[in-house]
Amino acid sequence: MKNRLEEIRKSKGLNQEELAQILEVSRQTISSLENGRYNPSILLAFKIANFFTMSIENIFIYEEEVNDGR
Amino acid sequence: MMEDRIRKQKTKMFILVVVGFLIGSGIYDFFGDGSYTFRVFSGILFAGVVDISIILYDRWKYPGIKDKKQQLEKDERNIIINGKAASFTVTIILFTLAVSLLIAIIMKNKLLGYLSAFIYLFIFFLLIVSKSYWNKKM
Repeated sequence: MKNRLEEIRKSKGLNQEELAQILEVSRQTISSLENGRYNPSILLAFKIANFFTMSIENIFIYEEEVNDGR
Repeated sequence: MMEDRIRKQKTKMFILVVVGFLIGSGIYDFFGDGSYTFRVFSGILFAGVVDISIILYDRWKYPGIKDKKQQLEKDERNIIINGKAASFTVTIILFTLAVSLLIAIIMKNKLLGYLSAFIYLFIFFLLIVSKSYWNKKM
């Protein structure tokens, strides 16, 4: 899932380690989230949104997978 | 960073524990009566002392390391990774046991056959029970 997490994090002047500490996750989780390799649980998504005082949809961009029908 | 430090600590600990085991076994070989069982116990004891020493030293040198480790244990991505790794490992173990059973049948080795079959069935049973437990709990 695409997201704006890195952009938002940097705009707040935080590095990955600091954000990980605040959200009580590992720095690797933050890195994987930003790279789109890992999708957060609903709980973590809410925590992130709550911390940045934004809605989840403003941070995480949901795109439906397109099946070609074959 | 603390996470890199914890990762390096695991590697360092593995190496030093193995070395500790070899030293402990070696010491028993030197002073002991050649008993294999006590040699292994001596190695395990020495390895245990090394393990505990490293943990205590790291906690003293890096006070936040214990809290960070607990945080990493609860990290959702780490939980998923551990689950996937465990699942894959169980599959490999079951496959290995099946191969072992096949070899035992071909070579007509009853002990190996019964042991492989018993461990296979035990792990399979445990897998079904734990899946059922987590299915009900979630």
